[in-house]
Amino acid sequence: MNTTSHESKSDVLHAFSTEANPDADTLARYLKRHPQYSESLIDLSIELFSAQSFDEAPAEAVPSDNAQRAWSTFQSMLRPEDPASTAPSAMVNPLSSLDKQQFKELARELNVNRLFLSLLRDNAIQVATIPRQFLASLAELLNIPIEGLQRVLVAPTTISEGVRYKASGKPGSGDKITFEEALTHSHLSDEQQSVLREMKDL
Amino acid sequence: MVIPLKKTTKEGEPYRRRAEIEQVLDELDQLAPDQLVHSLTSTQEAVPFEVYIYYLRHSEIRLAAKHLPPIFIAFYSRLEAALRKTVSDAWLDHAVAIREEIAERVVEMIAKDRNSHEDNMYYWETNFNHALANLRKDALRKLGPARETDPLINSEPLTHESGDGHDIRPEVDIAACDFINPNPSKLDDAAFRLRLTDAINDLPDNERRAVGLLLQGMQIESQDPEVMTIAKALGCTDRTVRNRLQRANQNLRVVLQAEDI
Repeated sequence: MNTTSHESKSDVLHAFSTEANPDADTLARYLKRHPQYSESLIDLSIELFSAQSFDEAPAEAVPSDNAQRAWSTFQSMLRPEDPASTAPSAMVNPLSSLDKQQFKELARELNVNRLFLSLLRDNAIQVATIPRQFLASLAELLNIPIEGLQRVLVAPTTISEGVRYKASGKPGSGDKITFEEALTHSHLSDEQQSVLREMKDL
Repeated sequence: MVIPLKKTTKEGEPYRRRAEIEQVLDELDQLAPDQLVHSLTSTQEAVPFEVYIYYLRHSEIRLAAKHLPPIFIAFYSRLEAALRKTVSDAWLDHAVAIREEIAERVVEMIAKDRNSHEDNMYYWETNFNHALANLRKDALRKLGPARETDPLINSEPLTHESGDGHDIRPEVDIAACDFINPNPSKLDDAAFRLRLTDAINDLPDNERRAVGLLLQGMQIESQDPEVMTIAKALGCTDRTVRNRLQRANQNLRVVLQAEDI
């Protein structure tokens, strides 16, 4: 069989890679039509045959902290005019702009103490472990969307030295504690702790 | 309208995505943004990865700022899950670092493409699995253990590890039987099968090609001159093909026995 030699190698390989069923018969067809690219076609067929299928049903619905962090990174790499890019101010934690009285008031409204609220302010708690119900109340009180709050809280921790040693893990930049650890380390009353625990996502 | 790939053939025709991807994109293109986000973040059925790449890398689609984060997070969570399976902690000391490297590079490429409109990632919309498999190979070469200490990990598995372990091509099992006769029960082990197919991909070119074509179901020889055979495809005699297959079998047995798996 004669070759249709005007097709470039990359065109032929691309066409093969888009075949619905790149099996031995398909490969045979391509080899006959394009014998000059046979080695590349054979190698590609083996690569395609051996590439795993990553398209499985999502295993977990809860996004990880990594995903949140990757989103922030992604946004920071986009051009400023891209609607998805981060405005610099978006990363400022609204908790840190509250004055002492407002901070105290907010803690009271959430039925937590100031130590616990300061862990949130310092981005010291892993966002994925914070119950959505709690995040929703906090976002509402701060008058920001819950996604915005999540984005802010996922930033690296600014936790102060005094608090850091309370975490169970070894201190280090980027160490974050879980919501549960925050509960037990914040001197909250048993009652406050149990209310917060009841909010936990199923 | 679905944005066509901008990379073109020699004749100036745009490269096409696989038909199934075009079809999903056409259907999603009809949806309102909120419905679109719902479809892409649904945990009921898995949208192909190529579709996420399409929505994330084209800023021309003009999704509002609020629509992109859930799509990105859904994509990234899926990517992480896929990488956990194929860059397994059980095999590698630096698995976490390698997975992070791969994921970071994917995110960076998407951002670059979004900024440049140059269509450098067109192949990711055509064949995500293959594109990611290649990136994985690069990362393993760069960050994985030295090849001589672990000859299996720098190559691609031939099969994929499915949840129930049944999604392995029968040809692989048949080929594998040659190597693991003393202990056939090992074939039930998905991790073993991945190792086996990694080993096949690590063979010298001529042996890998012979085994690869055999696994795809091509005959070694045929009386019919019209039938494509391994011997014809590789431009050698059927006797040479058999010799290569035999050498491949011996090599694989040695590697797998050394691994004690």
